[in-house]
Amino acid sequence: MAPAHIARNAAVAAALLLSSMPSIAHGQTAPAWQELNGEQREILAPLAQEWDQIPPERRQRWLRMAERYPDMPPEKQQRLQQRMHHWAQLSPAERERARERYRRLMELTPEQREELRKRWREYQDLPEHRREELRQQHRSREPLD
Amino acid sequence: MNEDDLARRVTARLDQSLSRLPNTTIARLRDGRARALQAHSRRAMPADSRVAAWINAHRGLLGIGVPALFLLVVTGAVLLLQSGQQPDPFDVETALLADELPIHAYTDPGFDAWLQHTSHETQQ
Repeated sequence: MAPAHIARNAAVAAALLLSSMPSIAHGQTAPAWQELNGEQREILAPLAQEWDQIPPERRQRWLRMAERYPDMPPEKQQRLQQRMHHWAQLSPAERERARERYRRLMELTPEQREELRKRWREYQDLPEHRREELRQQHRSREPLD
Repeated sequence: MNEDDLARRVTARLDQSLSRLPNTTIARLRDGRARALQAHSRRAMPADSRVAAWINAHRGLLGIGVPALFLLVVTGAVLLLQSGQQPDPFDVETALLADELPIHAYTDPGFDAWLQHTSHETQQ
């Protein structure tokens, strides 16, 4: 009976551990806007209006980003702040899609990345109706779930 | 008198005094015999029985220690797998937001189609 008892305890402990892993990794709570210090509020200012509605896990991510912010070059700091609001407005699926595409593009060589930037500029120069055609074209090719 | 006769006489003499032993002495002898037999059976116990006896004696300690060890191993394995799989999503996100290309470049499906379209043109 003893080994069965021990195995049961181990199974219960493992289940508890695994179920709590996401909360260990991301933290279960996050401070409200009023609880942030001056520097954090300054860095995260674009998110001031929506901060208290952001889920705790995402707020923890923003706080980690704010910690690294002072070490970033000024042009990156500027881009980051300009894009915070837009990023926070995206749905979780859109953010995941963007992260996935970015991960793939991180593997490109500097030359390929330069080419990518060139293509983006070209895409931006296309008339809006042409860009919309391309979006429709892409959606029609995407597999249906 | 040969040796056998002598032995018989000594044994008879001892047996006589044995029958007159006080009850307390008999009880002490019985306890001593029981203890000696117990000690002998412990020494003669096979290894797996000794392990089983040890487990039985330390059941309380094992009930906590084994699950705790199991937890440590599982935690270590999960953290190792997580760290080795891919870049931290947080790092990816920070880099993406500070990247030269805007967020739209990573979310606009039209840009995907444009890249495919222009790469086809380049190949032709």
